[in-house]
Amino acid sequence: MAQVRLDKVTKIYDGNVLAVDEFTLDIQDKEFLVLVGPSGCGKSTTLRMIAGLEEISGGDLYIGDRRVNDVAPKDRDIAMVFQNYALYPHMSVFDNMSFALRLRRVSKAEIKKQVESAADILGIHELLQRKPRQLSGGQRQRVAMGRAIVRDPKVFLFDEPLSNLDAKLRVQMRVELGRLHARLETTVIYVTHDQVEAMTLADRIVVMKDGVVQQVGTPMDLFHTPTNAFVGGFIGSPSMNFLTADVKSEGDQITLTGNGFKFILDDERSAAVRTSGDSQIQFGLRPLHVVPGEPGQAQFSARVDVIEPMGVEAFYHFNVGDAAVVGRAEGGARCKVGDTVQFGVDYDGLHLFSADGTKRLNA
Amino acid sequence: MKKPSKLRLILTHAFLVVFTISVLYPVLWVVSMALTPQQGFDMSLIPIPCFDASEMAWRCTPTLDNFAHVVSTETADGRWLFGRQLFNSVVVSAATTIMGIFLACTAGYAFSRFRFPGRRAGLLMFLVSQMFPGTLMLIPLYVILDALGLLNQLAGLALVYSTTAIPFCVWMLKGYFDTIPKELEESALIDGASPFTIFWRIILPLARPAIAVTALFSFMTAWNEFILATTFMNEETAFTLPVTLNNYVGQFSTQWGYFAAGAILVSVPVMLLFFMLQKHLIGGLTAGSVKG
Repeated sequence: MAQVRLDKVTKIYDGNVLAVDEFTLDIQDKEFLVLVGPSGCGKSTTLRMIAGLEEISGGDLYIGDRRVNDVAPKDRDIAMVFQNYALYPHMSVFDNMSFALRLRRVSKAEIKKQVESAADILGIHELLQRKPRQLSGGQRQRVAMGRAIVRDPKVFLFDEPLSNLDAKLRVQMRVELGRLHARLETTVIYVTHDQVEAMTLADRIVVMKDGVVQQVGTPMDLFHTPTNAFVGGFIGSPSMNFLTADVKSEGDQITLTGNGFKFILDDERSAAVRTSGDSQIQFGLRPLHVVPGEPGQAQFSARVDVIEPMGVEAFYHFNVGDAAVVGRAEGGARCKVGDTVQFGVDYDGLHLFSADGTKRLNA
Repeated sequence: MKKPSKLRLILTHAFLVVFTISVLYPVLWVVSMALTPQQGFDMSLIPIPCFDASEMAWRCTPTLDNFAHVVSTETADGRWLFGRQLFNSVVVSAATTIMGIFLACTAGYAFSRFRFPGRRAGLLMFLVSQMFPGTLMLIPLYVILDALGLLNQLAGLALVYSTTAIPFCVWMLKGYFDTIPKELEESALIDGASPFTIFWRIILPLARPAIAVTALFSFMTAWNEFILATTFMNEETAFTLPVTLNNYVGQFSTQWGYFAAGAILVSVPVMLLFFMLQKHLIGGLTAGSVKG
């Protein structure tokens, strides 16, 4: 059993820089948890506190049932994979993978067995006698994972493990990581700034910003109901479009007006806006819900600046007032650059936030 | 890469040849003097032993007699003096090297990795100490060695040499340790290594090129040093080789043949060391510029 429990875990550097603010979370056994956020959001610091590489300034950290705040990294039963792999350059792959076991004075036969079994899982058997510098990026990455697997830890910690790989290899290793997790059935805590990695790998995602947890949920939770504008903008590619609107009450209906649009909201959304009492709000729309040439429940009419045909879909860039907006439709380009087109907005994709973006208004 | 033009190639080589000659010319003189049986100071244009360039004729036969004489010097009571002095030089240099490396590795690592009060001040002091010529310290060092009863002792000389070599070595090694990614140590820490194990099994093996440079530097500091040695040592059985060499240079006449032969003998070990460590030296001197 290897739940990891963080209870108001806080990190303060040099007495005044708040890096992580009261991080509270229960990570389930065998869960694949991804910490995601822009650089400097405290995700790596959180991971390093779990690893024991950073001291915890406040709060409690439990691995299993044991409070480990003051337990040395080697006794926490964790293994960590670093962004730059951190393979020992002067040791062969075999020695790299067996280093921890040798330090624990495991018998030679047992070491050989464990290393070879890990090497088989990762398909790096033929590399065991090589030095790290003789390996490609992907192979180094595998060795780094192998080194973690050999230790048979309760919890795997990954710190941006794919960031140093080229795009193609990253996709490939991402799939392998998913497969590996399914096979090893171990708790994984994974840090990345790449929301695609987060979406594809995670059982649950934690979005962080400025040391504060913004939202915790499954990838689909975060995608469909971001709790604030930051999460909405961070998750999903291309990102959510944001527009600011004035709230006007016309009878029972609420209208959102701004430079270049006027949306008459339905009852449910009107109620949500009315409850907030805000006179100005921000709303988000994913490109998915802004479709050229469809009627929708509301419309933008705009001149298309750029079209990005991707094959199965195409993205349409245009401006509404001062705001840049992206629409999407399946298939090839439906119009030409420079055409003025009607974009239909689907209210199912309307995310209403308070004007400063910190609060979600609709359910 | 573009192939350089012929003219460029010729100019480059001409430049290199000129400089190689200007570097080797004095050395050839020394070799020439060492092989000439006379003890004169012969500054002929063409440094060929026994060859008189102005008359285009041989004056004598080149021999190895000077080397034989230098190597076979004896004390008044008939003991082998050259052997004794060679031993002194080796012991002092080896002791300096070992102490220098040991202390510089540990200090350099601490300066590189730990944050402690006095870290900056310590590093600066090491740097400042390098700005003064060693002779400036001659008198204080003499007084200190005298108080410790280490005058005329190899241990005293080794101690002084270590202290002069260490600041440079610490800076050199600290700089190299700085280039070793911290993640390696963190990874080892999670793997269960103690700080000492990390230092011994991860850091030191990786710092080999820098350690080679440091070793060579420490060795040469001690091996070539003359002024301190001649001041602190006053018995010929305690002399190191540079001091002996200087004794061939008299106030009224100088035995140039012996001096030259001795100089060549003294440089042989250093040259050998250079050849042995060459591979590491290149890596060490360019340390930090390229991370592999």
